[in-house]
Amino acid sequence: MLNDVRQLRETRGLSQAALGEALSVSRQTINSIETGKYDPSLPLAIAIARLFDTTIEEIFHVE
Amino acid sequence: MSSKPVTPMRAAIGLFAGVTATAVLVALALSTDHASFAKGLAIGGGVAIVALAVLFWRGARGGAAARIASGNADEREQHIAREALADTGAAMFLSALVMTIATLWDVEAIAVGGIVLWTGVITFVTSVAVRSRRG
Repeated sequence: MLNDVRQLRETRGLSQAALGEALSVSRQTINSIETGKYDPSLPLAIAIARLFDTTIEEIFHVE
Repeated sequence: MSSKPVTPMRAAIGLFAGVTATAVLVALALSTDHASFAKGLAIGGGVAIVALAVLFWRGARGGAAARIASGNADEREQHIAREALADTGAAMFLSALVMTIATLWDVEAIAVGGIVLWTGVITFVTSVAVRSRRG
């Protein structure tokens, strides 16, 4: 699944490690999400959306 | 979104249980005159216990394997562990099937058990490593 996590993270000046810490996941998991290798669970997707003050639909796009 | 971390008390209990189980098995092997088997059990059990202790000690600071072993795995790492366990089950099933057929050629029971066990260990480690890299 395509997503805008990398753009949103970089816009806020966050590192992958910092975002991972904020979401209680590893830096590798953030990297996997950003590269589309791993689709987050619904709770994690909601947490990402809340952190960036937007909705899941605005971040994640079906290919 | 992370698993429940293993407390030092639970780790100590696990370590004690591992050492006790290894000692009992080694004693059983020695009492039935299988010195070589006992030596293998002692070395294998010792290596496994030390490896798990190191992974627990590394904890959240380590790689995926350390976080899985110490209960600090996030949802992706838990997914990797589940998939690796599924791979391990399938590989051990196939290995057991092949080795059961191999007994027709008088392969020793101890070799059958060892090969099935090692198939599981190697498959799990390889699967975790490959799946971690692939995402």
